[in-house]
Amino acid sequence: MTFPTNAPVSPPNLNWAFPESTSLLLDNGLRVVMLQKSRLPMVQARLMIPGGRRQEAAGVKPGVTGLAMRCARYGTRDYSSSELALALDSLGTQVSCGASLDALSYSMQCLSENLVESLALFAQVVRFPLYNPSEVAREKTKLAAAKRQAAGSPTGTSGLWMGRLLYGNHPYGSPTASPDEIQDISADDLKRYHSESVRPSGAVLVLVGDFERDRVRHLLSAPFGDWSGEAPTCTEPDESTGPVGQSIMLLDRKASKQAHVLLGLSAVHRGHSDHLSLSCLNHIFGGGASGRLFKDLRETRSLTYGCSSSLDSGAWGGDLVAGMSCSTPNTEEAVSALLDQMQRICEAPVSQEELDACIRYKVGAWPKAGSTLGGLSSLLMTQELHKLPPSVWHEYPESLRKMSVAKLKTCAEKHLSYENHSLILVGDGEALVPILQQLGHYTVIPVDERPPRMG
Amino acid sequence: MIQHRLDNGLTLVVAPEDSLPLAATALYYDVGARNEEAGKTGFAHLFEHLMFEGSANVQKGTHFSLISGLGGQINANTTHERTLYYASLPANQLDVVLWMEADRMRSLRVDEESFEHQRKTVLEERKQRVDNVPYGLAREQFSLLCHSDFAYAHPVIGYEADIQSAQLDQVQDFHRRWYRPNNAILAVAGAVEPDAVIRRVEEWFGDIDPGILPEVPSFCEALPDGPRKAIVADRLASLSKIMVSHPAPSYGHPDFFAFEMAETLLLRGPSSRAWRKLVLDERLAVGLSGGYTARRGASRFSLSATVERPEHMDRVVAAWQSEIDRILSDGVSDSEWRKALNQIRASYVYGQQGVLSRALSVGRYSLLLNDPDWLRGYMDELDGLEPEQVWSVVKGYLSSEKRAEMHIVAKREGA
Repeated sequence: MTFPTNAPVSPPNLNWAFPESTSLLLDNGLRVVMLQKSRLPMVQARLMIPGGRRQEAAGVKPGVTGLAMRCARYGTRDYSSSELALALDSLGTQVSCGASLDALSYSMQCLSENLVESLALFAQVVRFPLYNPSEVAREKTKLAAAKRQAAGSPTGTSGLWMGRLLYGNHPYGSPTASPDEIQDISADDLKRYHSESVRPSGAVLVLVGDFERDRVRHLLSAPFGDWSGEAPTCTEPDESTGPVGQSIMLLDRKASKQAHVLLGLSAVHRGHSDHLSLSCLNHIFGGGASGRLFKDLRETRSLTYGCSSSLDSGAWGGDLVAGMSCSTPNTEEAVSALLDQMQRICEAPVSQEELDACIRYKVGAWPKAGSTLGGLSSLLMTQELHKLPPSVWHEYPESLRKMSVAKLKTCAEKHLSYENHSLILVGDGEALVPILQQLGHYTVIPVDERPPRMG
Repeated sequence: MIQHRLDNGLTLVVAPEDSLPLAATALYYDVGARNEEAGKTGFAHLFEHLMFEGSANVQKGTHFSLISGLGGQINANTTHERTLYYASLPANQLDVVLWMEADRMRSLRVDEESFEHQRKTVLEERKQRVDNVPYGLAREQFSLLCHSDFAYAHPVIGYEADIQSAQLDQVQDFHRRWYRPNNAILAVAGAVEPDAVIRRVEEWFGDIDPGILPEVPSFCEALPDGPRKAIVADRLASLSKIMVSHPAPSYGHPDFFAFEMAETLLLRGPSSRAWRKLVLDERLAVGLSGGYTARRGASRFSLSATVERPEHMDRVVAAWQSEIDRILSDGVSDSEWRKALNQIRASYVYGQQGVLSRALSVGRYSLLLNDPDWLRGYMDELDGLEPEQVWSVVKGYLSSEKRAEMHIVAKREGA
């Protein structure tokens, strides 16, 4: 046998189509999206209520959205905290709750045989959280402690500051609540927020997995049928306009052995027609181990263990942020290389070879979206939250194949402004200040200092 | 599931699953940090990095982009027990990853430049994961406290001085010694045709020479003869942490399933005993993690609790031990027992999503237990478990006399 000297690559052969979902509207205005998948005897449910943390810049007390969701599992109208935990664990059912910038989200995963009981418990968490003051006090302590811990970590408060630099006064630039703000929240604040915001009209429930579609209306009638109320009126912010000019900041973490570096640009909101083009640019720029950043900063220069970027888009704005950690003596070269790469992705066209590889990756990896219930429900929820076209996932591979170098160049010129980049270093100030002095005006603050709340 | 052993000793396991046009591979080499010597720590992990530096037909640094350009992903990781190279990709491209793995099993090309590059990368990784993060160094010290034998006591990533002193001439010797087909298990899962996979693996791996494998000790440790305790300061931590660990049975031991149950009763979910006692009721801890880490050699059962008030650390240990002891004194009710079984059953189902998890699973159990289909009987074993078996292991392993504990006192400036 002669061992092949070249990789035995086969022609692309995608034979997977995103499965069909169906929907129904309950009388109370709750929209239900269903996708049956019966390979495993399990179901995942996700409930999304528009609003979320951006409401905290429009009258809701800082930290209330996140804490309300965190405390929802600790006691409901019909179950004490320990009874609820016992009931869920007894079924092997997992429930989690969270608040993103744009929405509140509840998710539940259960065995199919326990779907009826699990939906009943899920409805308790969604509709009837007790917000017992004692349980709330405990969760406040835990959350505040976690925030204090995170503030002193190698990344410090850099994520909060990057939000502020990229979004300014926009609600997306508003920092998450501080430990002191968390302590200032009362159980009554949570009850009030829940009663005003967690309503069925305008909400979306996605069900994916092993269930009978024809029975869903009946299944939901007991737990959610008598739930009522209009969608919260939340002021919709303007679209984020992004920063003007370069911003540089140092978060001083004394004696840190590494510097953590973030470099960010404003991008587009999730529903923007150029979002897919920008996701291709992000893949070429810093999408994992085949991206330019990894190849240059790790594979060529040995400056870091890993360097990557992500495109993060919400309903009213988005950003492209690259990040890495490197030894303090390597920081000057690493920052210079990172800036060069960012300028290149913004201003120079990608090569046809890079684009082809990106398309092959995204099209080839597309079936993986169908391999877990979480993956499928996440895509369906994204489609609902950002009002993407009904055909978006069915046409996804074809949309990718239509990408061109010229289109990516136009998008980069239109949306990615290198002049308006924001650079944050977290590390030993004494060692890093000389680097920043060469780059322009900069600000130095302690690692755990948070952006001030606007207004 | 099909098992096939090549004449050169390579074990191939194929698990077909055709719900999606995807395939995954998991190539396990039976070498890890436990095979290292003092003064040469971290070499198994460094070698894992070097496997991406090129072979006869694959240029250095092209592994990621080759597989990514087909819609796939590859990566690798090292533990004390083994080194794993895994991939997932469109099923019709499976040959590419088989070819890549065969090429670097039969040849490895590492020069001085490549070696220095990966040394620097690993040193950065060590800073990022250990030296510059809260509890990183304390965890290494705790491992030394828990293990009486060097094999599992030292960190997988290795000590900085050892990484610095690693030599290029060790590389080919390590490859010849450990990266042999008779020291490897290749698992393939997904939309594949088993006979075709067997033919291809025979074709590309079949002529790789087997090696004479070094004698491997049992790596089991004697049970400790008394409690061990240490207190350390951590200048990077804002919150103090208590870590507790007990010896535990290894994979394949008759007590394994009883420990799975003990872990669920004590630590899985908010209704578990430790969660209720330490976090929800007595509010001693603001964060909790832990569980049963089974290995082929020295295994552990551990708890890690973050506390807001350092003076709570002794109370955490006392409360943890009291919950363990309560299993002996009060037993476990039928409803709690059923709850734990249901939790395990649900996790078992949830964990079966995705072809990569399937490949990893059959490869892992083939390596650890010589039974790729071991999970099939997992729930039956647990369903047949008797409460007396759990009491027995709690009594035998989890007493305070066998406990190791480390108090990590937060000393970050301003914390």
